[in-house]
Amino acid sequence: MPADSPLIEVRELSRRHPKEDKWLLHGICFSIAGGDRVVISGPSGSGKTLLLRAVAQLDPIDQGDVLWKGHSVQPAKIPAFRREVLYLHQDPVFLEGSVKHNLEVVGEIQLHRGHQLDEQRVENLFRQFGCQSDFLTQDQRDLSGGEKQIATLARALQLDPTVLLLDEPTTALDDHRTRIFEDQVQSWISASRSNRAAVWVTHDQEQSRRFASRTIHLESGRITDVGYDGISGE
Amino acid sequence: MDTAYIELTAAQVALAAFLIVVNGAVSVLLHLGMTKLWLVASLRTIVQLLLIGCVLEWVFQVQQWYIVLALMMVMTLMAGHAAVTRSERRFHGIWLNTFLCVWASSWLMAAFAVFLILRRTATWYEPQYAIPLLGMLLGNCLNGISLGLHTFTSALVSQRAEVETLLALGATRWEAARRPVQHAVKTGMTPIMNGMMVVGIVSLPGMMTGQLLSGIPPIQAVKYQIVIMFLIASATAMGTVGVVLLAFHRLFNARHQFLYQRLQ
Repeated sequence: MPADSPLIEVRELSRRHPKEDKWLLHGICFSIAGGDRVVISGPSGSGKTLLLRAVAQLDPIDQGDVLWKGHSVQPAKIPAFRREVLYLHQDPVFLEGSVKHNLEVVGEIQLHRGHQLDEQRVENLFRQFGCQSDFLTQDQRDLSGGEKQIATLARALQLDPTVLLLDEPTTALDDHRTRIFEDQVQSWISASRSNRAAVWVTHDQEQSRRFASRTIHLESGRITDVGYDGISGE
Repeated sequence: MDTAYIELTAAQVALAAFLIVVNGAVSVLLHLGMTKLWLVASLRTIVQLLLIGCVLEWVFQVQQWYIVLALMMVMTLMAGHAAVTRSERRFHGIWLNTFLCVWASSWLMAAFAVFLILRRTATWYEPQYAIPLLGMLLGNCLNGISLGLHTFTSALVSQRAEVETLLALGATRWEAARRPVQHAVKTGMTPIMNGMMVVGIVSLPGMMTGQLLSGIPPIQAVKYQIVIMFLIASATAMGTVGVVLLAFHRLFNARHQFLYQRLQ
């Protein structure tokens, strides 16, 4: 990695509407360095989820690039990039079976082959959220939306990524558990500040103030404001 | 003329048509509203079969390779068209993919049969063999292909979130789509597999029945049928796997992205 280069650098990222003559994202530039806690805000339809997905390279883009540690990501290296830059969907999806099965099933992906589930670490995380002792063995069909969001965080953290891309990850959680979720992500970053960062999409301004070291405000697919430590740049 | 089969007169065919009149009567009595449909279906059966009969009479008479080839091409295009129109969802390239798979799998198996099994190398274009063989291969192959395509695209729509979750976790495009691909290929091959399981027990295939009616010894008819079943199974497998893999390449790019927007 070139000296001082950020973990992720988004350069002039743009994406057109597939059918209409308009931009869904246009000229987006920002970077994410170790220790960053970036919050992306903006009205519905402003492109927050699209931006997060574009950073994870889940969708094709029309212009610009997303650099990983100073370099473009070659097509063959994209799965390895996504292992480092983990995108958490707004509506978590689980396969048939228990929570444990869903945490272990990632071991079937070639990049995670040999990865062993650290049950103690995961159970400890569930305890922090006040989940029942048998949470790990519960069938995923019995989980509430909030419990799925907790299990998704556990699934992501056990894979030891570098950057977490969190798309409204606490919408189904109560206030108490939302705070625990935020604390867990903050402590995860603090444990290795130079190598970890998170980008969080939220509509909740209070949450943004609590979590963000930097904020990016989007409107109609363009960055309209950048702020630091919850203070708007305007 | 003394033939090994009983020649049918127009009156005998009309007697069979009377059975459809009974169906129409049932429809009227039970207010099923199907009387007109029965009439149209029956007329279409008569007209379409008479038309193809006339064409085949002529093709069998002239015995020219280019005419047989042209007829085979038309049959292939019709089969490809039917396979695509049966699929509810479309994507860019579906027509080319489907024609390619219908053509390659059916023609390859027809060639295998004509050149290697029947060994009609010099007279490969004999319509007596080439046309019915290709017709049976196309009919079954298009079923497998359309089922495979339909299952694959439907699975990708219903399991989109699951596929994208796997991609987000670092799965390759193949790892993410493996389940829908497997499901689609299995579904596409189920009809021929089921057919092979029960053939001769609960059903006598149309071709074998036709041969028996025309006076061919039963064991000869059975041998032909076994060959046909294996050819159909192979063509269906090839066509289904081919069309699903080509669709996979259209819908997942080299950057391991699921191009959901391409599915209409």
